[in-house]
Amino acid sequence: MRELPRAARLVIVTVVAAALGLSIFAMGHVDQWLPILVFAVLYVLADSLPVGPGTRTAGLTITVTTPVAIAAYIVLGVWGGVLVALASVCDVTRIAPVKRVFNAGQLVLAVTAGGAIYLALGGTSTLEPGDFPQVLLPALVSGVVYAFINSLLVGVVIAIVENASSIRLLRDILLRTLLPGVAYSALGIVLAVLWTQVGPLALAFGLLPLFVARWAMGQFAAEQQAYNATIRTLVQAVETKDAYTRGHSERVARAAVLIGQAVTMSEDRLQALEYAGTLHDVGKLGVPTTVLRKSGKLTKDEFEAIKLHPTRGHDIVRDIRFLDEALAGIYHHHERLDGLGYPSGLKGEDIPEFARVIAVADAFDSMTSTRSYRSARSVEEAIEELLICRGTQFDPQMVDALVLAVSHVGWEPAKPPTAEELSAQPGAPVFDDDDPMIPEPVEEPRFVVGEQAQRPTIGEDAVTS
Amino acid sequence: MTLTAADAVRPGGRVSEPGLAASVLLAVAALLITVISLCATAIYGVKQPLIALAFGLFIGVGAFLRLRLPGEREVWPVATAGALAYSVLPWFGGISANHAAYQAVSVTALAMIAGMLPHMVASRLPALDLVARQVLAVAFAAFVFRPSWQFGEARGYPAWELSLIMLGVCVLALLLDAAMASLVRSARTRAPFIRTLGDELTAGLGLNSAVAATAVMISMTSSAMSFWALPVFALQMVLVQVAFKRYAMIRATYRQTIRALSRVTEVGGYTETGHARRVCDISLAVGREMGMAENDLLNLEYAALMHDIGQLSLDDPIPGGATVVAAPYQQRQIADKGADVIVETGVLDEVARIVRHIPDPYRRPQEVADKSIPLASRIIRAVNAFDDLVGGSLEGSRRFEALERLRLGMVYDFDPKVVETLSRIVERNTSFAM
Repeated sequence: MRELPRAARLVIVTVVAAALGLSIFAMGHVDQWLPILVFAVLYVLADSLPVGPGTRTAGLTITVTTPVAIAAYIVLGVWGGVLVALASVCDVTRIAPVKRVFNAGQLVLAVTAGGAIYLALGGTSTLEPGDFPQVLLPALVSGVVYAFINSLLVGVVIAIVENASSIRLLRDILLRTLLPGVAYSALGIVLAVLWTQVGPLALAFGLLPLFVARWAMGQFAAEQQAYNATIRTLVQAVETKDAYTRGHSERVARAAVLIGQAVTMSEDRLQALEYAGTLHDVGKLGVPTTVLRKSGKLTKDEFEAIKLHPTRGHDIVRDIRFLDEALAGIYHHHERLDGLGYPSGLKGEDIPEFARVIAVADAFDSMTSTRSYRSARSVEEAIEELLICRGTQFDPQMVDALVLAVSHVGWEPAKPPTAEELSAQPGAPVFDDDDPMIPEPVEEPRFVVGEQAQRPTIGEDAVTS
Repeated sequence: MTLTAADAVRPGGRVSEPGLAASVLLAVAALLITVISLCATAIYGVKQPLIALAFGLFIGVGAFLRLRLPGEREVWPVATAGALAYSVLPWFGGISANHAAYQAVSVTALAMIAGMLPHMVASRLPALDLVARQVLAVAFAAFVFRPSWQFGEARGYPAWELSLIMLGVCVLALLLDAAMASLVRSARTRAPFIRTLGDELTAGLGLNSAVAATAVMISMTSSAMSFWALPVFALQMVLVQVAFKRYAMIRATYRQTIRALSRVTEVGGYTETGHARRVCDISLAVGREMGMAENDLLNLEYAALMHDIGQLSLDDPIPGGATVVAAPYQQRQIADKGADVIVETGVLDEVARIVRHIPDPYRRPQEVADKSIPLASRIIRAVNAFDDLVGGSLEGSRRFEALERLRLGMVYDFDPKVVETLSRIVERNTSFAM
């Protein structure tokens, strides 16, 4: 409480004081305590049941208690509802007492407002067949009001603590008010009807499907984490063939996501982009190790074998139906904006967006990593190089996005391989086809191992055609 | 029709599908009940047609929104909930629902067919047994509940007791559905019935408890709310369905990804084309027939697909892969490297354990069989050897030679039970491509 900003403390104290007053008043105005007690116990139980891991991050939050609170003020009246809301202070899962007290306080206010609107618009607590459909309007309006007060009070405190803008606050409140308000009040009114018919059993019936849905969401989140871990580690583990490119796929995925965020891609596409980045070199895993690690010039055939890797990668993962857009990103990640890339020689906008992103991320990581024929470039040098190739090899928009993102959040480049790792592998490649700074090794082998001192300066060899 | 491993074993295709008899039996029974119900409805007339229409709409929309759960299970949770609710409907908007059981069956069957039509136009046919099972389960609920409601026996109960009776009827109907589903699955995959029943009940527990609870709530609340309850529950069930759909999708993606990554070794020329998938499909058929549970089958599937992945992290790949002709220490090396890679994921420990034990002989001379070797490892070991010897060949003689060789190795190398099951599967499919 002490560390909270003054304004937040003020809001919390006001809310809690008002709720306390309302609750004391409510206690004097109820005569039937048993249904309130049953409701309150079930409310707290529903609230304390564990939420699966990542349920909230999965994009679809399912609150099981809101319909119960709405049903409470419909069947128990405003004052009964207030006491049920008050009981949420017993929720054992919220650890911080301040949070718990404030939460119960704002619930009391929301229930009071919702319940009062419900009665004012002619809502009843008996819910006979003759009451329908007239009673639906008060139920829906009161639900929206309930959701509004609820998100307003919570939103204000969070906005003060996190110092968020008032526009974001307003947007959040609106998002959490209209649609959820209607949906939850619909569930609330059926719970209320069921309560008038079968009593406490109603909550058992009503909450079961919500819990099942929440359980499935938890399963989804757990499975998704497992999936991400699996493809990341499988790709990483088989990458270990070459000490120089270790971790390359993961870093490309990271850089690709940075670019995607900077050009404001949607959450779903970012996820797909991450998979595309992780899997972009999967075709290389099948290239014989002897070729990948060859020290010395590659023959034309060997270079052709390496050039095949986007196609092979695409062949491998094309059966993963959901990858969809990511597939094009994997297949075309070696295209160049000027049409001189491979495998299809696409130009400009014809290159899929994901491929344009991955091409930049790929080159960036390659340049900032150590290679057998050169040490790692600094981030600044790599960016300079990207800017030189901007418009010829790379999409200017993606280059700018990466430059912007790196200047904001920084970049942790690959660590150079240790001597131990290098001694464990016999050969070292002299060529990296992701590196825009070296020419293709077969046409004009301008340098081989041991001649690094004579390498042309940066920029000169950037135009690889 | 869904593709099972048993089907995949013979991609050459075969006119009569295994398990078809069970599906046809269910379909005939469902058709019979539907025709009788339709005739009865035609003769006695439709009671309370507006209510029938409302529920028909609900069921139809539900049949349109299909959901595929992990394990190739197609379900219609919204349609099922609506149909069960109509079957156990006591009142509607304050008046007694007086439709008979045959009307409930007719409405369900017609609505389901209507909901399927758009899919049928797009030639996405639902499994034959799915429609049949739904109709039969609903018929069960309707014929149990409706007579006792119409003729007064159920009317005497207070609402809360009535709701529990309705719940009981719905749960029994869903259990019947699960039993029928496992019958079909058992016939199709030759897995023991008890095992498929257990799998079916576990897989359906979450979703079906939501379906049963929702069915009762629809019935009870429409007593007061009439038509207004239906959209609320449609919304709720769609929410539940979305949650399950996302889960099913990530599960499917997981499988597809492992399957895809298993091809990395082939693309690099370390193993023969299609080797991992063939080993996987045949191993699954063996595992099913030996009565492995669905979770264990999933681990078996992943382990079979990834059993050669250790090749990729070897400095010098062994030409031809971890074949039976490779030296034992090389097989061990590939298995260990592969298991190390798999264990890194942090979520596939059991798969790693299976891969690690693949090179273990069934038992060593003078010793009893090692019980710590997982069944899955023993299966993959035998199937892998079989595929190495046959190499996807269509020749019958080569297969029998391969089997003969496995049998000779049975004393020590391979689990006799696994070889026996494998032989049965191979012999059953003599005239077809493996």
